[in-house]
Amino acid sequence: MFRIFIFNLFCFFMFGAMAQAADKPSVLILPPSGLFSHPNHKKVLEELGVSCTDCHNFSIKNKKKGPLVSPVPKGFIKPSLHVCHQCHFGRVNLPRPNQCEACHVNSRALRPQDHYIAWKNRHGKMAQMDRDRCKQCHTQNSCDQCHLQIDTMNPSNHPASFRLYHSVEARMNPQSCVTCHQRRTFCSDCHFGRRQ
Amino acid sequence: MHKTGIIVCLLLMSLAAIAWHVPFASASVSLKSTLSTGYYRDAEQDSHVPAYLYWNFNHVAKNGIETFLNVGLNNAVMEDLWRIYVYEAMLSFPIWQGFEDAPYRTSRLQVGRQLFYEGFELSLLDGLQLPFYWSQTGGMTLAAGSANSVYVSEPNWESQVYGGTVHENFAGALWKAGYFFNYRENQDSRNLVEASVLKIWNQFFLHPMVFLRGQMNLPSLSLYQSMAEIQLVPLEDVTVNVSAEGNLPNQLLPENQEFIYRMFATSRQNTYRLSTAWAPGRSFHTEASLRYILFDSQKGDENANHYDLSIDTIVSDLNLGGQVGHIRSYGGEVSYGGVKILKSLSHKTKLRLEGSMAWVDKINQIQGWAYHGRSGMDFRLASRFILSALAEVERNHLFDMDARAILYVSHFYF
Repeated sequence: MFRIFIFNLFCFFMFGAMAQAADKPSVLILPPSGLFSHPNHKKVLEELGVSCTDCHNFSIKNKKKGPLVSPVPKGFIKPSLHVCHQCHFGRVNLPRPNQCEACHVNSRALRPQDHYIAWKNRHGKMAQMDRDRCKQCHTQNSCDQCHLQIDTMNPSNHPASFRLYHSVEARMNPQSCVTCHQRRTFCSDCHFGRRQ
Repeated sequence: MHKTGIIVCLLLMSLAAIAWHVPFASASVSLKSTLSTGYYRDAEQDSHVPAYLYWNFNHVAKNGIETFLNVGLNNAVMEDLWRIYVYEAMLSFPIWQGFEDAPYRTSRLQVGRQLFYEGFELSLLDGLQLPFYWSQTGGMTLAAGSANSVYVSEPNWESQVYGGTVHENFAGALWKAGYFFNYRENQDSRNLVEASVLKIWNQFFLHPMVFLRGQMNLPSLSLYQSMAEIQLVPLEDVTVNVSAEGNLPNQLLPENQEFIYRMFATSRQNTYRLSTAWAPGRSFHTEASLRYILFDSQKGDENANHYDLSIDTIVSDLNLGGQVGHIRSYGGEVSYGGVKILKSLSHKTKLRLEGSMAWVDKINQIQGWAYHGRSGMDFRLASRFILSALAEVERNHLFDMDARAILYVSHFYF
């Protein structure tokens, strides 16, 4: 038994080390040229008063030196990597769990460091302390997904089989039930036969 | 109920029609419509087909005025039981467009139905909120309106809240203080005062962080709710968090909405938590936590504990998560474990696999294993259409083998 435990512990740390070695920022769903569509953005950018040079600002200089080298490379019109964030980082809202998922494959890999420790318990308190910091990535829709939207087929914050042992958890942490379930008839809906 | 359903459908169709035309006349529109449905049997072997339609709309006009709508429509198809939920219906009028490097800190007036989260409470507010910033670290928020349960669709004026908070960075710490007058119909009004401080010593050994918060009712000068949290970083990748909390149900809601809490607890709930996380990079994260909870029930002192260990890792386009834990309370004991796998097969398809099992031992003499498995695929049918099809099976003391089917169709516009 002890050997199995030691082996599991070894595998666990090895896996952590391998993941650390392979660590890289979240990749994009498509190359930037495939994600950004000029025709789709044209009208919006015109109406918001965003001009061509706000993105294509000639800031990229050619790294090659010499009299025959053009001052800027062929791809000079390519905007910097973070130009999308000028609008999508707090100014424009997309109704998704977080708007990073519009372009990034794995938005979980973009989480800030403080989201790693006890975040399910702490996120509300931190949001109450600095309410608009969340707006960099989230809209109220992110809160709605778990706190408001009722989806009995796929409840986002209850584990599988929760229906069977919710009575044990309710007697452990009754405070957590009333964060959402405040209707007096909520229990009787199932326990007295209105819904199973 | 048919009539209500038809009216609701017409309302949503007209909203969709407005949304369809708005993009041609306005600055920026984004919307998401999700239809979900499924099939399952209950313990009485009766069949159910719930259907949900969520409609989320955001519009930014040229003058900066934003419109937010989040509406849900639910129908229990077999019983033809319709419900409509308005989660958010808000207009936001900009007063100040924010700072160059912090455009999300905008001073604005928000009018309508919106989330209200101050102090220890989370409610739906039908009214006004005015966040106002005078610097990147300082500002205030004023609020006025009726505080509702997150389940209530119609505005309910039984509980009203008026007041505000001020926050400022001072002596390297973030300070916040607030006062809210809470009018409650047929009950004594409350004068709730709250204060918080958050301080991080990044330059010191262990990079300690301290977070304190307290709330009291002014006339009685009693500390209603409080919390203290200390966080340390003993190694570069390891974080330890210790906290103690004393909580009551949402103080801004009418007392009858504490019903579920009062079934199990008659006093304040005290929670002590120790968590430690190891995150050597963005691709790997593991966390262990222990909670010890104390409160009084109608029978006397009760205590409960919860251990949990979770692992979350990302290897290329594979998300792998696992969790094991144990819960003990005066309702019984549960030991659980499970894995989740999410794999991108291409930029158009994603595979989901989930499996879990739990040993349940309840006070009503029910003992046994419960198994659950779910598998499905996400398909990006077109650039703006995503379809998710899921099938799940479970086996427990109610079902020898139960199967469910779930279907999601989402349309995005932005």
